[in-house]
Amino acid sequence: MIQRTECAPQLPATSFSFSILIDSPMRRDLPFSPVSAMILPIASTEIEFASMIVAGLDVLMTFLFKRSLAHPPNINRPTPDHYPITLTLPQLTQLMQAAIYGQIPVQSPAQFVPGQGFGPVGTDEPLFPDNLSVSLVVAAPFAPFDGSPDTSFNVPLFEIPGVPGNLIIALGVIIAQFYIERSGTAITNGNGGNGIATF
Amino acid sequence: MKLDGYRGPSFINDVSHPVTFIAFLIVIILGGWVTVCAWF
Repeated sequence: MIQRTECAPQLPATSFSFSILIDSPMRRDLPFSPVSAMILPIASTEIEFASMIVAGLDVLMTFLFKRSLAHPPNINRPTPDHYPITLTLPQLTQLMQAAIYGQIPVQSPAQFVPGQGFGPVGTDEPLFPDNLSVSLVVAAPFAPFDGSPDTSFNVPLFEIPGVPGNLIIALGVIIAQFYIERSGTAITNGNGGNGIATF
Repeated sequence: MKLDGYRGPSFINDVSHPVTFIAFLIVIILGGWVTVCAWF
């Protein structure tokens, strides 16, 4: 007789990986911005229910924030241009008198800056005010087959606003691609073949 | 060339927030365990 426990399928062990994520721009007050990232894998291992670890981390962090045990970092950080200005009554009277006499300073149009383009809606974005942030990532797929849904948990370490993050990441990716191509680690089985995987 | 409104790069530490630090410790422990399992 076949026992039920003999027929039970083995639990699939999925890969649980630990990486460093460098991305740009992250958490900038931009309505739309292209984001690029570079992932530096450190280690990975095969364990069962790896995605449940990520789910547990998500639940724990959501509990800490939603139960008002802590405020999320950098909540409601408006730019100085968006701060509301509250005038007292004498200040409002003074402003109205100045408006009557035409003494309100009108904001001058955008000045031309050498090296900075001038588009149809104003000056172009300067080159440098991008953002570069570094995070730690643990990632785990739900199942060990290719194409499985994946999940990850990021912990922000630090960010450096004001640096050309996209250009730094592009340069890092180009250097990494160059070293991998030159060292031959991208060749399957290390046999110097044409790079096609053989199973 | 001086850019208008650009004050140079600055450093923002995100780990100093207590909850982020808790998550950082958990992830470091998990990552250290994974690293030990994978490398040794």
